[in-house]
Amino acid sequence: MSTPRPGWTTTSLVALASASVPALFPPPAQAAQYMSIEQAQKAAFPEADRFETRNLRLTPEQIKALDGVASVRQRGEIRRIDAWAGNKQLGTIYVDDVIGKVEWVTYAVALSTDGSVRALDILEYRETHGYEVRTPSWRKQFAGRRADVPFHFGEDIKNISGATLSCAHLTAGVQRLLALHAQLSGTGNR
Amino acid sequence: MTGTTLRRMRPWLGTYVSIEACAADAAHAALAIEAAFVEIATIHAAMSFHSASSELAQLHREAPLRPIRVGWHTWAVLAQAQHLARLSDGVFDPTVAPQLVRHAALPRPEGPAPDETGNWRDIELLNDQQVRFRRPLWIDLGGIAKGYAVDRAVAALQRSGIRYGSVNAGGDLRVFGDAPEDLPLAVRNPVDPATQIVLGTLRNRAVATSGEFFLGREGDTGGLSPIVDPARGIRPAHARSVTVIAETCTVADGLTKIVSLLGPKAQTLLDHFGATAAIIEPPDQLHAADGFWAALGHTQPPGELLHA
Repeated sequence: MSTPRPGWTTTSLVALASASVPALFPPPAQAAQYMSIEQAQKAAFPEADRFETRNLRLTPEQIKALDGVASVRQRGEIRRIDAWAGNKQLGTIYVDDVIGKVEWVTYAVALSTDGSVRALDILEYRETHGYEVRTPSWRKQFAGRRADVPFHFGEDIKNISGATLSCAHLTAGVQRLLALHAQLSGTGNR
Repeated sequence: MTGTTLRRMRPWLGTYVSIEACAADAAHAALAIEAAFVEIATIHAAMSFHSASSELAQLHREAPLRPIRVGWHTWAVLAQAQHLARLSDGVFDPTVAPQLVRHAALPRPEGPAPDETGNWRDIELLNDQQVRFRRPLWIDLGGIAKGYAVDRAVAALQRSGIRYGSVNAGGDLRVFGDAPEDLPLAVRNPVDPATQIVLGTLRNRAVATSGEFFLGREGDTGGLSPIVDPARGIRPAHARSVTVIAETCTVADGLTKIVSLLGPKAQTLLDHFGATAAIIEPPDQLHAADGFWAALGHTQPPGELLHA
């Protein structure tokens, strides 16, 4: 698009960065806290009077087995919270992280005692820079520029617009937790 | 007037959807957000290309054989897609899915193989919300359904009495109401991606962006653009992104595909919808249509103009 049209104007984004404009506005958040674990507990099991928290450290064997279910980068340390009303168990919440292309997401999935998903909420969402994930064809676009200067326009734009970021990593994380839950509660065999 | 603002994020529509709502108290805001997510979940279930139980999947299987009655969300999105297809003379065309399936950007649906000479004109919207295909088709409503879901979620929040808030489905977003502060809109700094360049602020408008690098779908398109040109097929990705600002997110979402393919020649359609757009191209140029900067709260284009 080298010939601008009537009514269209062209601006240098880099020059814009050094103009005084941005100082007028706070930058959009690249990390956001949506819910605390306590809020997620209460929202999923409002009738609970007690929550029991344990940290699960997965063994390499367990992690390997879960990789067969769905592959995603997880930290391998998962918080398990059992919800109780008196001596009746209402269900279980798992708090876990997944690391995607540019996003690092902490989420809570709440399961009823029959293993069905009762709630799924993101607790915290952070973005990493993600230039390591640029595809080679993308990088080729910038041949001749400094190789260590990564570009990604509009890919994100938080408050903003950007080519859509897939939530596939989160979906994979949830599938792994469901498999882990079935394993731990002995209901995984069919 | 004070209030409590609540933010929630859940995975829907293949991406992360965040909803922000301000109400008199947190319980009110939480209920309203819940209602908005129900709306999004319903739209997701009806129009998922990936799910065999969606209305879309049923259309792929049966609409070439007989008229199929669809729910009103699917009906509304199909009607809007056809409207955009007609206005753009087929530049926007929801029947391009076979090309995306061939490049593994979408899974192969059940049912008859599509007739690849088919196009949007082969979708018949009959009375009583019935849809018939004149020949086997695979349609992808991904170019517009996300924006539609954002609009319906905003409507749900407004029905619930939310004063102001926003809905952001992975970058297709809409802000509404009388917020004390306008929503800043930014892009990454091309020279230092860790920082962002705020372009301006938004109030009571919708924005959508089509970038061609981050594929919002599963599968490896091997550097191909997720935007299919109905005339020429799938093509190598360009390192550019298109941002459209409009009254509704459905229109903004649909127009990004048209501006991606037509560039500034899409001006007539932008005018038709009272929308405006910008095209960002490497190394660092932002080409703005008339009204783009004004929509972001500027009285004149900020920074240094390369061409006016």
